[in-house]
Amino acid sequence: MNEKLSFQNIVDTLARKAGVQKKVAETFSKAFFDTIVEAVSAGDAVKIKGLGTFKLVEVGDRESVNVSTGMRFVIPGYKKLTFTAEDHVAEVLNPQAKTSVQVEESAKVAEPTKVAESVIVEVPTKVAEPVKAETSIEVETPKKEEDIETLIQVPEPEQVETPQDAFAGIDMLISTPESVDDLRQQYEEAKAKMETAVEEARKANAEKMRLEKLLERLEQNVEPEVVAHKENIESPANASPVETAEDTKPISLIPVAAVSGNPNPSVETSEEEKRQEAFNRVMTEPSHTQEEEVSSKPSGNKRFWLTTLIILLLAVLGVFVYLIHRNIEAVEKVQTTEQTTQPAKAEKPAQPAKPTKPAAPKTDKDSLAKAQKADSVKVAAKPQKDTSKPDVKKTDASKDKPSTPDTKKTDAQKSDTKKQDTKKPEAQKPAKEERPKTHRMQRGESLTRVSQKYYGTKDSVRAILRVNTFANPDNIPVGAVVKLP
Amino acid sequence: MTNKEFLEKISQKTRLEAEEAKQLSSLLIGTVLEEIADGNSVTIQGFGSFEPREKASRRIYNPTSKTYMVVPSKTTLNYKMSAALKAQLNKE
Repeated sequence: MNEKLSFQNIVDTLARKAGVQKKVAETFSKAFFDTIVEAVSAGDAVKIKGLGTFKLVEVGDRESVNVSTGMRFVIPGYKKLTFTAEDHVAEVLNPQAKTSVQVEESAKVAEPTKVAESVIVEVPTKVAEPVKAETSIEVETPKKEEDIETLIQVPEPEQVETPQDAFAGIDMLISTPESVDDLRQQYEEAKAKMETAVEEARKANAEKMRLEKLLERLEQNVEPEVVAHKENIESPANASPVETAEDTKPISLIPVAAVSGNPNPSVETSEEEKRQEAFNRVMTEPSHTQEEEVSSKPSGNKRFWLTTLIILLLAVLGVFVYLIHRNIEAVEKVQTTEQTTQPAKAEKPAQPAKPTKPAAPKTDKDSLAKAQKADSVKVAAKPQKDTSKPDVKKTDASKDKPSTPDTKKTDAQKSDTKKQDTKKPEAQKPAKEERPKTHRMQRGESLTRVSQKYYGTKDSVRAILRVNTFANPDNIPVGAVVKLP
Repeated sequence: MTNKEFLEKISQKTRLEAEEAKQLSSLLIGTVLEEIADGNSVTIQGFGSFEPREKASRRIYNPTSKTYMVVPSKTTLNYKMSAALKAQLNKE
């Protein structure tokens, strides 16, 4: 205990332990410490397993005071070899591992606070879970609608997409059913176009996200519509020539099956996106485009298209009405009207429904347009007023500005008596008649203090601020020169 | 410099086998640590001294849990470089 062991003692014990000659142990030990020094002086930290890390640290210059004389002097900086022991060393040196013990007195204080913390922690989790559930619902509902749309549009994939070039290939497929290889080529051509369209669709996705919330609200609307759609799909398939319905279904499936692998999911998603986009467009845009589409479509499917489009129109108009009114009653009315019309055959109820519903939204549109116009008029009027006001202000300002300097100049030009007159009311309390033009800020001084000092009131701070430009008037650096007005 | 590089250098200098150097190194560290654990200080001339330092037990306060804890006393290994090494390192 408390022995001071030298290098030689260590070498002796090492030689005994390792069963090596003392010379070997000595050379090794010397090499051991020499290499540390070498590496460290080369600027490298040495990590030795089981011991720790040796590292060279620079100690900067520091000032100290000679205690006897009270003189300040600088201790020059130097390099210092530091050693950080490994955790293993602490274990060796402290065989009985002790852990820190909590003090009893404080434990009583701690417990209630812990309970409070746990309560606080629990509350947010409870809040968070329903939020997650909501988000999941948000994700699911549009998917369902997409599925519904796909269900609706699988028999007629070119219904909404025909205006876009991407689906020209599919049109070709439908018109001229050929061998699978040809179909594949055509499909791949179409796919290339589709990929370009996918980017557009992605842009539209952003719009889709916005409309998802609206779609959520419209769930109630959509569900009855879907039923109607399905019915419609079935009924025209029976009514219209069987060829169209049967042909379209397999052909629409063929391209998907033919090019199995990577492109499929992307294509499908793009189709879905496009449908969504188209759906959104239909929702946002007026009905003119669709009518044009109807006129441009092949004559064989015309009836089919008309019925589906009319139903779509109904849905769109329902959305419109809902958007405009945002009234639950209005929505319910739309639902009831749709339900009454849709159970019957699609063509008959849809046509009479058409004129009735456009009427309501049109009025809404008109009212909206009027409101918008009124707003725009107001907006138009406001800027004019605004512009006129600033002009007046500017003119005022321009009038004011030249006037004040003039007065100042005149003041300056006039004799000292006037200056004194002007100063005296300002600096009544301090007896100093002649005020310096600048002030050097000192430690602990604020502008209010400066104002107090030179003007006798704290109110002149604003005047000082007007003359000076500070980065931060609340924190002016020491020694800064402040102009005094 | 890692432990491996360090041992390689030593084996080059002493012309010992790498395995031998490794063994000797661990033994050397072991002996030094044993002596320190016994409360002895080890001074290596031209390098510095290793000595045990007693750290007294102390009371700490955890502001988040607002609890007072007592950290038990422990022994740490302290290294102080020798004056000769300091002179050598600060030659320039």
